[in-house]
Amino acid sequence: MNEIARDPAADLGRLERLEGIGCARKRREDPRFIQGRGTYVDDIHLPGMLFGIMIRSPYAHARIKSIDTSRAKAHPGVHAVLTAEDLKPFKLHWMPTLAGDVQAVLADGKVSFQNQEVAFVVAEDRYIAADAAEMVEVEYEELPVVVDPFKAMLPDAPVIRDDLAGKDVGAHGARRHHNHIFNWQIGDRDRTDRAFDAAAVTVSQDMLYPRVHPCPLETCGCVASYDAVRGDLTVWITSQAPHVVRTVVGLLSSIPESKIRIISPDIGGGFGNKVGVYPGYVTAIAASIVLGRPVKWIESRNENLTTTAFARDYWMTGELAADTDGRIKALRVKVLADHGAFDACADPTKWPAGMFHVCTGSYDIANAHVSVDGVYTNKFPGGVSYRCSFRVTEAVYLIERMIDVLAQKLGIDKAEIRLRNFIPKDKFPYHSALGLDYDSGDYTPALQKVMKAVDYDALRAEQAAKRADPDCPTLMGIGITTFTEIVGAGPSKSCDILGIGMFDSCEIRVHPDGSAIARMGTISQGQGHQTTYAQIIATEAGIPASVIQVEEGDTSTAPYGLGTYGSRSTPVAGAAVARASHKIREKARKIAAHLLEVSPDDMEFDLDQFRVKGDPARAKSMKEIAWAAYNNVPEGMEMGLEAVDYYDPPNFTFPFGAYLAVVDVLKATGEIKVRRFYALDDCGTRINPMIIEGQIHGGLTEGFAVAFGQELPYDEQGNVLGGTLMDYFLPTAVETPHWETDFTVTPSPHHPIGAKGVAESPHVGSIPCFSNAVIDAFAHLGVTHTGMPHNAYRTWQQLLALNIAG
Amino acid sequence: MKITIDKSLDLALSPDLAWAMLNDIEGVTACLPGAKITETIDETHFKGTVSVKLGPATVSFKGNIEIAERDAKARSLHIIGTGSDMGGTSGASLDLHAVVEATDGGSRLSGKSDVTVTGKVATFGARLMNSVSDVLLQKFFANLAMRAEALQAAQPLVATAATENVMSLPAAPAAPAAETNLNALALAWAVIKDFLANLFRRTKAT
Amino acid sequence: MIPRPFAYHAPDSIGAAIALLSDFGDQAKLLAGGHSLLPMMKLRFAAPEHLIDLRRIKGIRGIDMQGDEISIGAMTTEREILASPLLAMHLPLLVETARQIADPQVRYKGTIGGDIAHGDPGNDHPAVMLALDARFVLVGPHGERVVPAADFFLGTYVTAIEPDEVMTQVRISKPAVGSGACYAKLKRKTGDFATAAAAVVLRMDRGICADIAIALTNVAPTAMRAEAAENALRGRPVEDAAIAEAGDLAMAACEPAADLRGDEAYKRAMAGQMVRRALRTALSRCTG
Repeated sequence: MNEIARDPAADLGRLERLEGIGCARKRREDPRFIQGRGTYVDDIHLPGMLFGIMIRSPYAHARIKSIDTSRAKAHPGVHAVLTAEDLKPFKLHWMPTLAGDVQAVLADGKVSFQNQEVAFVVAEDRYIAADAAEMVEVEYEELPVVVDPFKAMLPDAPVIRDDLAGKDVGAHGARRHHNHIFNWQIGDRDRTDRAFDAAAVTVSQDMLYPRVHPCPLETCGCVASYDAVRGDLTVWITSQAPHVVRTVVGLLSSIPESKIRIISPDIGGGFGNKVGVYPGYVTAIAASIVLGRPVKWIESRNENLTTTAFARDYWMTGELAADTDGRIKALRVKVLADHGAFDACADPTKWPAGMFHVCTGSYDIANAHVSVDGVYTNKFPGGVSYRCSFRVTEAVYLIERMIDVLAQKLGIDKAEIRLRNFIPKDKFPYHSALGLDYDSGDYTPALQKVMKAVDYDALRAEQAAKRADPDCPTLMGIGITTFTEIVGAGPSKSCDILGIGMFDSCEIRVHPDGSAIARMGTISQGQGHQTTYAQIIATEAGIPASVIQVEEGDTSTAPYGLGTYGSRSTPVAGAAVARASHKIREKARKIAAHLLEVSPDDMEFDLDQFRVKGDPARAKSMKEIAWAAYNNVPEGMEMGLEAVDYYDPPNFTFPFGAYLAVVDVLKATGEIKVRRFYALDDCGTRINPMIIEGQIHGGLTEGFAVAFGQELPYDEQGNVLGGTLMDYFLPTAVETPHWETDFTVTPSPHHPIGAKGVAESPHVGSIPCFSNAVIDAFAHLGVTHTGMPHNAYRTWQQLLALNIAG
Repeated sequence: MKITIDKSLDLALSPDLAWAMLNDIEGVTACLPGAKITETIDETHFKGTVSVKLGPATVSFKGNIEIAERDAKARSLHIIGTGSDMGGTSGASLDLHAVVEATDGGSRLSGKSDVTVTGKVATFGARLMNSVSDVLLQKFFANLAMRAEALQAAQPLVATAATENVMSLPAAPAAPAAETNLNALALAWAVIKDFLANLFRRTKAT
Repeated sequence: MIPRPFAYHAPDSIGAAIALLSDFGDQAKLLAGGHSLLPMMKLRFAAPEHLIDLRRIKGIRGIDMQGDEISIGAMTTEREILASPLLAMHLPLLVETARQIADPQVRYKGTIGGDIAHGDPGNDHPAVMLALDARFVLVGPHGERVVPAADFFLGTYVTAIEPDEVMTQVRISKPAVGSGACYAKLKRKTGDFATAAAAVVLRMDRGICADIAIALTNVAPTAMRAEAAENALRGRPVEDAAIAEAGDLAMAACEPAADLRGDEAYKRAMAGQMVRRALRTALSRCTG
C-alpha cells in the first residue's frame, strides 16, 4: 500500500475554509444584531395592524363582581374590549397548560394572582389602548390571600381553584387537598430508609431555592394575523417552540395546522421564559380572527417579570446518610413546590418535577428516594425556566449544598469529600439509584485540574490565617461544585410535550453550486445556531460553513421539532444535523463513485471531497458532486442532493463541570466580592469554542445574579415586589466578576458527534458554587446554610446574628 | 403593603362633644385633605373620594365607607373602607377602630387602623404611599384638632399636658381650611415641622 | 408604561417658561432631564397636562467660577459635571457624586437642577448641597430669589420652589483650601438609589477638626444634615473613636424607611458605615 503523501498546509487551508467542528467561527447572526438590524416581533408592522393591551388584576385573590367595558368601547380608536364572556362561545376563555392543568385566558369570575389577565383592549395604537385600559371598570370583591405554600396546604387555607372543586385526581395522580397539585416520588423508599437507619452519620438541611425570573431582554409578544379570505392564520411570536405552538393553536382554534403558520423571528433571549403559551397570545389571535385585522400584543417589562414563567420556588429538605469517612450511603429529599395559581410548569408530560431526580449528582449513591408535592398559591404561574434544564438547577443546588453540609459535619475538606464520592470513570454508563443512565463522565481529573489551577491548598491556608485574625475586615469563603447536568430531552418513550415525542429534526438541501440550505426544528434565541449547525454540516458533509444557510422558526418550512430549551439543540437537533449530513455524504459517495467509475466501497471521504482509496489524485469535491447530482447520477438514483433526519435520542446527555469560587464578605456592610471564579466544563465534543465560552460567561453572570441579588418577594396581600429593573438585579459590567474558563472533553458515547450541550451548565453549576462559597465564609462559626439571595442586607443580618457585623 | 397607624389626640372637649364630632362623618372626612363624601346611601354606608397631590404625583381613590359598628355607650366606632384608584390598577382598604375616652383634661380620641394597599401603588409606589400617608395624617390630625378647637370655643376646658404617644393641641396660628394641594403648605409646614417631628414614630409600614 | 396625553412646550426663555407655568398652574410640570418625571408619568402616577421643556433656554447651563463662587446652571447634566476640569480641580466632591448617580445613559440627560428640585429623598445631590451650604437661584414672575439648601428641602417631593418658579442656578462657595470631601454611597447595584449615603466636607487645622458638614441621603423623608455628629467632631481630632461616635450619632438621627434594600436597622447601620467611610476618606484628602 502506498504511503499517501499529505500536504499539511493544504489540509489546513481546506480545514479553515470548511470552518467545521472545533473552529471558533465568528457568529453569522451578530452583524445584524449589533447594528440594530434584527427582526424581532415588535419590528413586525403590517397594514391595518391594531394594538392590544392586557388589563390585569391589582388583587391577588378576588371575585369579579362586574366588568363594565362601555366607556372603554366608546373611546375613539378602540376596536374591541374582550372579556371571558366574549371568549366563552369559542371555548377560548380557558386554555390547557403544558402541565396538564388549565389556565384562565381571561379571568372567569375570579382572579387568583396579582396581575392576572382580566380584559384585553384592542385599539388603533398602543397609546389609545393604554388610555382605554384605564376606562374599563372592574368591580372586585377581595378574598383571603395565601402566598406561603405551607399555609396553602393547611385545612382552612383559602380555596384558590374553584374550577377544580371536587376533582381529587389531577394530571399527575391523586390530590389530597384543594390546593394540592400532585405528589411525585421516585427511588426505593424502603431501602433508603433502612440505609438511613443503619448509617453512622446523618445530616439534614432545609433550603429554599427562591422564586426568580429569567428576565430576557426582549419581553414576550406576538403579531397575530388572520386572513379571512384565505382562512390562514399567521402568528409572529416570541416562542422557543414554534411547532408546538402551531399544534396548540390548532387544538384551541380548530383551524387545521396546514392553515396555521407560526414564525419565531429573531428572539431576544428565551431562557425558558418563551416556551409556554400566554393569555396575550390567545387574545391577540382571537381578536385578529374576530376583527379580521392583524393584532399586535407586546408586554411591558413589569408584565413579563410578574406574569410569565417564573423559575424555582422549591422548598427542599435534603438528608444524607454516610459513614465516618464521608462515603455517602443514601439520599432522601422532600420538596414542596410552589407552582403559583395555575400549573403551567413547562415539563415533559410524565415528569412533573422535571429531571429533579438527577439530584444524586456526580456521586455514587446506592440508595435514594425523592418525594415532591406541588401546591397552588396566589402567585403567578410557571416553575420551569431560566436555564434550569427542567429542575436540574434545584437538584444540583440540593446535592451540592448537602455535600458541603456533610463535609462540615464530619470536618472533611469540601474538595476531598467529593473526590471520595465521585462515580468512577469505569462505572459509566452509570445507572443511578433514581433510574437515570449517565452516558459518560470523568469527574476526578476535572476537579483536580481546577484545584491545581487555583492553588487550592494556598487558598485554604489563606482562609485559615484570616480566620485566626479577629481584626480581619473580611470573611473569606471558598465554594466548590462538581455537578452533573442532564440535558437533551429526550427519548420519546419517556419524554413528550402534549403527547408529541421529544425528537428533533433537520433537513438539508444542497444546491447545484455546492452551497446548501438547512432547516431544523429548533429555534435559536441567541445560542448561535446559524453558526454552529453549519459547522456540524461542514465537518460531517464536507460543505464549507460559509455557504450553508441555516434557517429555523418558520413552521411552514422547517421540519417539525420540539424547540430549543433545556440545552437540547446540540444533543437532539445537532444529532439530526449530523445524521442528515451523513445521509448527504453517503449519497455523495455513490455519485462520486459513479463519476469516477469505481465502486462506492473504494471511495473514502477526505474533508471536503471523496477520493479513491490508494489513488488520492482521483477525487471529486463535494462541489463537483453537487453539480452532478442535478444531471449525472447512477442508474436508479433520484436526482438532487438532500436529506431529512428525525432523531429520537436513545438517552439524555450528561455534561458535567467543576467550579470553584473565592469570595470575600465585608463585615461592615455585608457586601460580598467575588474574588475569583474558575469554571471547568465538559460538554463532550466542542463545536465552537468561542460560542461555548460566551455561553459560559452568560450563564455564570446569570448565576451570579441569582445567587447575589435576584428575588421576587411577595407581601401578605399578594403584592409581587421587585418587578421592575429598579429592583430586579441584572448585573452590568460594573458588578460582574471576571470569569476564568477551562475544559475537559469526555464525549457522549451515544451521540453521533459525541456532543452533549453546554448552555445551561454554567447557570446550573455556578449558583450552588456561589452559595457554597458564601456559607463557607461563615462555616467556622457553625453556619450550615444561608438562603439566597446573598445580598448585602441579608448577609449583614447574618453577621449581626453572629455578632461580627461592622 | 400594610400600614398600621395607632394614634391618639387629646382634646379639650367633653367626651360627648368629641363623640359627636367623630360621628359627623362628613365633617371628619373634610379634615382629610382632598377627601369628600360623594354619596350618603344610608346612615352607615357612604361613597367617597380622596385625591392627593404630592409633588408631581397624584393619588386618587374612590370607594365605599361603612360604619360596621357603632357603640354609643362605649363611644367606639368600627369603620371599614374599600376603594380603588381611578384607573383600576390599585386597591386600598381601611379598617379603623376609633374610640373616645374621658380624660382629666377632656377626652382622648384614639384611632387604630390598618391600611392595606394592593396593586400598582403598592408594587411601584411604596415610597410614595408612605410619604403621602404621613403627610395626609399630619394634616388630618391638625385639621381635626382645629375643628375640635372650634367646637371647644363653645365649651372651654383646661389645656392638657403632652404625654408620650398622645398629641396635644398645638398652639397653632389661625390655620387655613383643609387644603387639597399639599405643596401650597410647604412654608407653613416648615414652621410646625419641628413641633410635629415626633408624631410618626408609631407609623409602621410592613 | 404609556403616559396620559399631554401638551409639550419648549420655550426659549425663562420668561416664557414662567408665563407658561403661571398660565397652566398645577396642570404644568417643568421638564429637565426627565428621568425622574417621565417614569412617574409612564406609571401614570403623575399626569401633568402640560410639559414645559427647559432645554432650549439659554443661560441656565454651564459651569463657571468667579473668585471662590462656583455657579452651575440648573440644566447642566451629570455628564457635564463629570467631565468638567473646573470641578475636578475646585470641587471634586461634585464630580465624585455625579459618578455615582444612576448610569451613563441617565447621566447624559439628568440635570443637577432636576435632581435637586424633584425632592426625591433618594436623589444624591441634595445631601451634597446641604453639606456644601449651597444656594439655589429661583426665578419667578416677581423676580429672582436665592434660597439656601438648608431651607429648601421640606418633605418628600416637597421643596421651597413655588409652582410658578424655575430654578436657574446652583451657587456653591468653594470649600476652604485644604478641605477634604467625600460622597460615600452604598447601593445594591449600578443605577440604584442609595441604601444609605453620606456627604462629608471636612477642614482640618493642625490635627483638629476646624469645620465639618455631614449630610445623609435616603435615610429620612428628605436629605438631612447630621448635626449632632458634626457637633461631636468639631474641635476634636478625627481619629477612630471620634469617627465611630460620629457614625453612631448619625445613625441615631436618621429615620429610614424599610424597603427591598433593607429594614430600618440595616439602613441605619449603613448610614453609620457610610458616614465613617466618608469621614475617613475626606480626612485622607485633607491637606490642612
